[in-house]
Amino acid sequence: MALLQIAEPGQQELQPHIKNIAIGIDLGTTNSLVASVKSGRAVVLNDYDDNSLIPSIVHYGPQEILVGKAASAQRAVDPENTIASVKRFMGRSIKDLPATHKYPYKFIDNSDNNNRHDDDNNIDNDSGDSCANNQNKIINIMTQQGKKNPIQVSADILLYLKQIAIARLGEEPTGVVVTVPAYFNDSQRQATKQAAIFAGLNVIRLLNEPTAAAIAYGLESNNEGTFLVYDLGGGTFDVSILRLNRGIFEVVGVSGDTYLGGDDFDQIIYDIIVEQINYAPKHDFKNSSETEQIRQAAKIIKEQLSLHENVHFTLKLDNQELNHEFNINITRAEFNNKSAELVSKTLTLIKKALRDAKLTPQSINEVILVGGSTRMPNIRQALTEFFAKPPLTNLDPDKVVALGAAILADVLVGNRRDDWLLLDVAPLSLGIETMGGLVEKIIPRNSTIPISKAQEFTTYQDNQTAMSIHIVQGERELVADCRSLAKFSLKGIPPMVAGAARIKVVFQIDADGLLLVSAAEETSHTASSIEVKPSFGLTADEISQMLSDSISHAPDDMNNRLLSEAIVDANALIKTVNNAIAKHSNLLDDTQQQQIMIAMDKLEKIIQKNTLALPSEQPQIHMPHNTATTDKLEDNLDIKAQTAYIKQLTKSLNELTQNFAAALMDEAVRVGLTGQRIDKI
Amino acid sequence: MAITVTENAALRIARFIKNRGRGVGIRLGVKTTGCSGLAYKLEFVDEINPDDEVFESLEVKIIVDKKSLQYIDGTELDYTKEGLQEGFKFTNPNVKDECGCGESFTV
Amino acid sequence: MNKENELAKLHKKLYKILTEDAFTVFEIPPNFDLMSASTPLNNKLHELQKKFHPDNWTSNPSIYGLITRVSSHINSCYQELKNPLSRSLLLLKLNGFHLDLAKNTQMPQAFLFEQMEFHELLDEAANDCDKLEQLEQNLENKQKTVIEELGSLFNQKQFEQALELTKQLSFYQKLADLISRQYP
Repeated sequence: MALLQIAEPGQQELQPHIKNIAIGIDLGTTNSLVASVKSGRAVVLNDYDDNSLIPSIVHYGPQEILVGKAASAQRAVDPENTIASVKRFMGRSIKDLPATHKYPYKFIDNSDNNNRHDDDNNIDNDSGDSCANNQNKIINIMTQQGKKNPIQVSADILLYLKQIAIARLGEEPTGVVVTVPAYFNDSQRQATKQAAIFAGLNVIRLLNEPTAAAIAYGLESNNEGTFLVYDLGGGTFDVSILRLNRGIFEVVGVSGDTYLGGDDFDQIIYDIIVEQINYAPKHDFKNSSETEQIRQAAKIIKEQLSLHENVHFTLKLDNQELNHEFNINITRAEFNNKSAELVSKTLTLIKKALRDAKLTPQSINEVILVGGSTRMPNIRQALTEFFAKPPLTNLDPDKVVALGAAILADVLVGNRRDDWLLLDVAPLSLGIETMGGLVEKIIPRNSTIPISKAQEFTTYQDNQTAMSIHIVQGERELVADCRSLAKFSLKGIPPMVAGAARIKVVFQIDADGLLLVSAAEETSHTASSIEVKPSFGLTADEISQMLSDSISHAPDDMNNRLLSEAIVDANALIKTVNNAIAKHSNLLDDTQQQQIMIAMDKLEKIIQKNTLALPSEQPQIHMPHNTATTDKLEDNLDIKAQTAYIKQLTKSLNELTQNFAAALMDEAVRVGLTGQRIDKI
Repeated sequence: MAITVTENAALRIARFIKNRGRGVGIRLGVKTTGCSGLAYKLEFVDEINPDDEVFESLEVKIIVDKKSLQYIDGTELDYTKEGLQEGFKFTNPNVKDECGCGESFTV
Repeated sequence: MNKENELAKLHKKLYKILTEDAFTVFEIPPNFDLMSASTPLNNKLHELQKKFHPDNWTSNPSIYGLITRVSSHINSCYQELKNPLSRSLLLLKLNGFHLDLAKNTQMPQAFLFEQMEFHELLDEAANDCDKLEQLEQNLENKQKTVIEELGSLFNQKQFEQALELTKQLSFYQKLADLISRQYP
């Protein structure tokens, strides 16, 4: 039940469902979750098999797209077409990937020069200079379903999560909060938001993951104070320090590493396994599906090591002519020893965050753990020693981010008027390139967002009509060491003597942590102000192509949703009527009862026929765009017609039972009156 | 059967009425939303109507109209804190099913 | 009609805030010493953001962009006031003294020697947390002295001296930034 407040007589808003459905999505490297506030409490929405953790894996089969558990099963069988940990590729180019890591995918190297269209804008993204654009070239993977970039893969995961939410809530969410690692740069945030848009979600906020965790915890304990969030995800590590004070949730410091995560701990075990089985019969492990089997074994062993001091594991590699079995034996001591460096790396980042916030370990009231990998005893041990107190463990470290996101989503769609406010920060400094390839900071890291900063530029040559601005993100002094976000030229500056033009460039980071740049020449009133969105490596053409792709599938989604809604409504009515008849059939005469029964029967049959189309009946999503285009139109007509029919039958059943409902109420009053003391009437 | 309140709820109700400065108790009720759902209501009461039923639990007067009573008879009213939210919670033995948001229910 | 009027009034108010300087936005007298402010800076920030943060305006899409700008302006003002260097620069500007830090490199020789010494120490301290912390502490003490002095100079309206001292402060701040980058 939702928690209620006492209203003034006659003032209470009695219309349920004016409430907006809001969901929070934790789009993780390894697993993703979707949560919502139901009855005033944040809960994770489980998938069709009742699992809350949905593997962030997409399998592109010859006919269909599988997401989650079904896709996970394909990992060892068809690694080439089964994309896991796609979050590591978000907003990145091939060059950004660590060379040491082997991926089983067919990356497409599109180093060919993509011609950008030059229009009449005063500003447009530079095409001539290779630096910014090639560096940010999006990753493409060739699958059985064609070329897929990380944004599309993420969109497929998000679409699946959305379908789970619709199935669980019976309604389409009106607003979604999607979480991102605090240390995600602008390209990675833009990519995440774009993916959500492709999945047809209305993103009301990108929320930093540790902040989400703190919301879930802080608001639960309702303790004021300073929290440190230790967030070790599959592929990223974040530290955030937050202060909860008089209804303000203020992030005071963020630090992290986007190349450090639980997967790195898996890698240590992977290396131990490979080492151990190399002592056994020699074997060549080039085959990627074997690699995958070892990787999965490593994950299991890591989890086991959190529970036991010593783990024996029998590794069977299927794809052998000879049936190979290896006995693996790993002790916690060996693992702790080999992973000590990773743990201390995280402590160094904690120290950095504390230094930034001018705090000491003693000033932290609570340490919050996020991510399944924080179950590792060596991490808990290290944190307990460092902070001289054990970390909080009462919320599931796998779920806490999604729960926090759901709570914020609920607030942002206007479902509650709590008197609290979140003030988050930009994790990375924003700067521009100055002479000599140096960075001039415009907005320092840990600035509270949204924030804007205006910077004035001038020309350095007489009659100069254009200038180039290069925006970077990062803490280093050299442009080459920072992330290049956008490079654009300001054109159409009126010819003036050097230094006379005054070009005002406004850098704005919004509440999502996304950058928006606008520029205008101030002395002449001719130049217009234009907004530049950094391109995260996609050309404008690519974006519009992807958008039109996703829009062309939208009608299918829409029709399915309407059908699903009609069925939910119809089922609810049938249930109510059934209950009422079971209890109060005496209020109906035979004809009435028969009429109602016939109407219900009709409705039930048509529901049964259509339930197959409901996502809850199919554990895998079959993306509508995979069906051949020829029968698509007919399918749609059919779905529409079915929906209309169900609605019509529901309506007539409702009308048929109207009198019954009224009789029920009267009966209730009558029963209520009998046996009452006379003075009460 | 009757309507009861927990100690915590009683404490809160007494405080809310005191802060408000007037009121004889609180009203619990339901509103029908067609055949497929009901929603709770919770209000201050300044005047008791002739068809109202009055219960007293832990020195708090709970007023319920007779039409509503059949849907909420046996309900215990509690005051809890869930995360950010605090408020009154209905534990209603008659409820068979709740809608997605939990604000409407069927009996 | 009434609603439109209200909206127009709100627009006007929001645009007005966008043009205001940090002291005006935070409703404190333009003074280097912030102790004279009735509410602590951070509390005032919270008070303002509770009113103007875009999260409180999600149901008003027409005004959302403008609100984001106002909220951004408030945050920028907060930062400007909190940082002694930018606060000093703002005060100087409000009193008609413009200081272009990029062009001002003429410093007293003693000060430059001190700077060089700092840089040498910094080179030695690279990646050594203890040494870096010590260096940071030294620098912080120096800054503290300058900030105190600036406070009294502004109180006495001696803007020219304040301007000279502000230059020093900018050197110290650059150095502090460099030190923080040297941590492993």
